[in-house]
Amino acid sequence: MDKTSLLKLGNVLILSIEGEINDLSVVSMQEMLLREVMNTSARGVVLNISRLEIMDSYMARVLSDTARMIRFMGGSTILVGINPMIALTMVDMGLDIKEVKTALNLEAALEMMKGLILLAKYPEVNA
Amino acid sequence: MSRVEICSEQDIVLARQVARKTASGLGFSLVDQTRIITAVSELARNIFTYGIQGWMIVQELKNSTGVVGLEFVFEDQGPGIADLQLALTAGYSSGQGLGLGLTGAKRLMDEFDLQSKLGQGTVVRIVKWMR
Repeated sequence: MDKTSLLKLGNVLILSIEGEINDLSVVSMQEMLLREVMNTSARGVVLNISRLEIMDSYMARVLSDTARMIRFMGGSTILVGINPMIALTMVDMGLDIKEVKTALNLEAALEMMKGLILLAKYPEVNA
Repeated sequence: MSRVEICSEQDIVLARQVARKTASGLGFSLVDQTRIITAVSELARNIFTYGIQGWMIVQELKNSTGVVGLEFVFEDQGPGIADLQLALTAGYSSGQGLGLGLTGAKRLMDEFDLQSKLGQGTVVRIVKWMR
């Protein structure tokens, strides 16, 4: 029952979360991801949820917590692939994921990630 | 009418699958299917988190003008909710959630009805009508 897949592209990890993942698997996914960030010295994580069935308050919380944990470890996180149905539902519910930057697709996310990593390396550029 | 017992994490997934199958079978739009499944996910999780165990009953409805609807009833015999008004306040949580489970489910559906007795359990009924 493989509900996630992890890819490494340079210093960026790409985690894809699949359709019908249960709450326990979401938590073990989070632990696995943090370990991988540590082991691979990744600077950024792209969370691809384009194949996620729904976003409920539990999933929103785990994703938001995960992004915060990755930030504590010195990395940046981008959420990619929120489909129109999920976006509508999130607004209906009043859900927000404030910790996380979002991108429309993987290509845009990787482009954005380059900037975020550069910014983390030379924070004075932002000043 | 079908019934799903809820006593594990995997049962929340099962409740979502049953909701998806029923809603798509009745011809709800993809957006409404997503709303329904999300509300079902929240309420099924509440049973597992607070009620420990319970069940979901799904039923097709038809109103007097022939409009088709889908009703879900979530019932548990857990500790119940002490303050219903507080539980329905967005952002309030007695557990580890975001406090948007009940209010979120209410906003996603057309009808929402919550009844709870301390020490006896909780019943939540939600309905979505076909547009």
